[in-house]
Amino acid sequence: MNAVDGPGYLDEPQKSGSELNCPVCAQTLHDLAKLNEHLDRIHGFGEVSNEDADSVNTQLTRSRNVVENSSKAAKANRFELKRDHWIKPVMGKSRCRTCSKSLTQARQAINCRRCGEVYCKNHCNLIIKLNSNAEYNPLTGEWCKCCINCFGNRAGYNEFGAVCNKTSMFKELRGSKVEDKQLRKLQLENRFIRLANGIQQINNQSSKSMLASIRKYTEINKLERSVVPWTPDEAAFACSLCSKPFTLALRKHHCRLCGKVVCNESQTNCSNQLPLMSLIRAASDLPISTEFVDNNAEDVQIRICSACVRILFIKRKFTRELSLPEPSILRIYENMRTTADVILSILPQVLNQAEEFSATPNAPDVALLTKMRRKLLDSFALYDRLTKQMLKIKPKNPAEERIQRAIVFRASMLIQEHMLPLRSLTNAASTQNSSHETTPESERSMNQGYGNNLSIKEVKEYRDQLMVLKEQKFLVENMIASASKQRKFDEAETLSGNLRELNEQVEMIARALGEEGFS
Amino acid sequence: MGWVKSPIHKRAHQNKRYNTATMLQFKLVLLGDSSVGKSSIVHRFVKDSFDEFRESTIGAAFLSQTIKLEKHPDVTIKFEIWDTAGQERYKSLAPMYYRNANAALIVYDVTQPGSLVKAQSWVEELKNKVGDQDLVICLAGNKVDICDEDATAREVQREDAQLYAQEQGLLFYETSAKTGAGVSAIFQEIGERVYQKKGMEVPSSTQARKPLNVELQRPSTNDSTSCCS
Ligand SMILES: Nc1nc2c(ncn2[C@@H]2O[C@H](COP(=O)(O)OP(=O)(O)O)[C@@H](O)[C@H]2O)c(=O)[nH]1
Ligand SMILES: [Mg+2]
Ligand SMILES: [Zn+2]
Ligand SMILES: [Zn+2]
Ligand SMILES: [Zn+2]
Ligand SMILES: [Zn+2]
Ligand SMILES: [Zn+2]
Repeated sequence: MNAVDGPGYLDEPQKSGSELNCPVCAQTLHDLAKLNEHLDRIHGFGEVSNEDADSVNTQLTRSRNVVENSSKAAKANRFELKRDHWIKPVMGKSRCRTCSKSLTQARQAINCRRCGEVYCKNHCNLIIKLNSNAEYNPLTGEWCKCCINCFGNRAGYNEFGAVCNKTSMFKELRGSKVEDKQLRKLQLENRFIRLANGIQQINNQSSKSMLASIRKYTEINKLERSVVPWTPDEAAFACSLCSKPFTLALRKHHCRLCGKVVCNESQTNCSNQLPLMSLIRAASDLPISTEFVDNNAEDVQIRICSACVRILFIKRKFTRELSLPEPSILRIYENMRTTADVILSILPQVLNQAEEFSATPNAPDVALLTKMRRKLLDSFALYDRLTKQMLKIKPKNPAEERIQRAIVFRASMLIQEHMLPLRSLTNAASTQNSSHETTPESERSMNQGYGNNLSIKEVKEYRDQLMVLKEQKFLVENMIASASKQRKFDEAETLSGNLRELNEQVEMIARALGEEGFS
Repeated sequence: MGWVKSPIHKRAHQNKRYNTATMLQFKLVLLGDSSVGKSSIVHRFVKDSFDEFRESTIGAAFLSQTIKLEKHPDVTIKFEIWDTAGQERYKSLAPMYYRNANAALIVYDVTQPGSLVKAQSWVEELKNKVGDQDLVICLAGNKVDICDEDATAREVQREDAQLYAQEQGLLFYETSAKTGAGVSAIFQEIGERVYQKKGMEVPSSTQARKPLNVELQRPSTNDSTSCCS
């Protein structure tokens, strides 16, 4: 049972799942804790090496001694960290290695004590133990600031992991499960086809003769039992789905597709009598003849358990809904998004060109600039039209309403943000090139805003202000609470005065915003 | 933690003339670009401490500190201080706090010339919206300790700022929240000015309006470092 040899042993699925092999010497261990202990003890991965680890006590005193010794040593000769490997930051030129923030002041820059690279304050905020030679030494080192690289790459950190590829095992397991499911689905489909076709046949015959129609239900019952053998009533003590025991009140029912005994509780919905015609319609891709059109068929119902419904019909419904056309709100949003992409890709080009143009007004690119600007304005107009279309849609439910409102808000922000630079550009260009263009109608309509008579810019500003005021209200409320708690009542009074003022302002802005406020 | 004593507190205790004390309550607002050291100055003044890695202020913070005027030892002044956030986002909050303030302390960073420009725009705004007859405005150039270490770091010359302050009729100080230099002086001076403006006008009525005056003999510290809490 001990050492298993050979390099490939890790890739093979282990037979007994709960046992682990040491990645170094391959000894079998019973659980993760044992493996960790083994690694620490035998292979020395622990920070404090200890050969005689039988007693926890000796271990503790030992490590305490180590600490004391090292701190004594540190006191004796002050710790002096090597610094000549530090890279000297050049102010305004050096950048943090992690976030690339430009370092403009000496106070912002900091050297990683281990690798010596330059970082910003935020990205050199970890600590490891280094010796005076700036090497990692968990035993006698001193805590020093370091970067995330040095923190993560230190010896013994993250080194325990051994790779064990279990993908193939997983695939195999999963594959057989999927296959099972597929088979089960086929089986149920076959049964359903036989049942549906059979019932329709019986129906057809019974409509021809009076006698047959009397025997109809016994025939259907015979058919049902031939499609799937029913579990005998005596063998079932509890519902096979919800496990509730059957009683006089909880009657037994058979699912006509799997034959199992299930209950008929409305809460658990374990089984239901379902109209055959709607079932056939729900599985219209199956080869079931629907040629006969007889109203008699409408009132035939068959009992199916919830498990079979799920396998047979719910997935079908889902895939069918996927192929259905999307709701209009999403279609318009999709259009808006592509339009916005167009705007955002052209805009910087136009601005760049305009800059060049104003530097050298006689450049031959005037035509190109005009064309691009035209396209940009057209895109804006389209975007605006789409936004207004979106506003006209009546939301079907609160969720859709929220989505709609968010989309419109986002749209007004986008126009607000990108129309302004364009406006100044239009003015600059049209003074030099006035014959060519007039401000398009669309641009004017865009500034009328959505909903009330505030412009988009005002709405945005008011909303920001409202947000700030509400934040401050929250802060002041907390301040009042803590002032009262500390019995500083005069301060609480001052703060309450401020809270009243904040409330007044919030109300004022909320009124101005009307419907555009937060809800 | 014990009671952190600032030089101001010590002075306050040496003057044992509580019986004739006048207690005045002044509202002070701090304005200026973000990270020039507004919060640091307030904390130096209120708690006599400095934190290298202060979180930037959200909205407006409220602190208070009580001092005695050096020139009028019988006058106790309680500053109620609103420390506003410098970020553009919070700009709309400022008017609420400077509107009924007695004094405004506008701070810039002597190593950041842009922050003086911002300070000047605050001065403009205050003069337009409030008018300086009711408001004592003080300009403070902070972080002078950096220049003491490295003279090349200074970007705003003391003389330039002082000249501007004189033209505009503002009090002017250079400070360091880190070393504490100039911080208590600035609040002394502001207290003195506001006292002259306000306290002289209605010395008795102020006293009458605020019934909780004289009992506050011990400077109230705004935090849990107070000795008997
Ligand atoms: N060297 C130095 N740094 C300071 C001084 N005052 C503030 N700081 C630093 O400047 C930064 C911003 O300070 P803070 O008080 O938050 O500025 P505020 O945004 O104006 O409130 C902080 O990192 C402080 O440590 C000072 O007098 N000297
Ligand atoms: Mg602050
Ligand atoms: Zn091993
Ligand atoms: Zn960084
Ligand atoms: Zn490093
Ligand atoms: Zn059941
Ligand atoms: Zn079933």
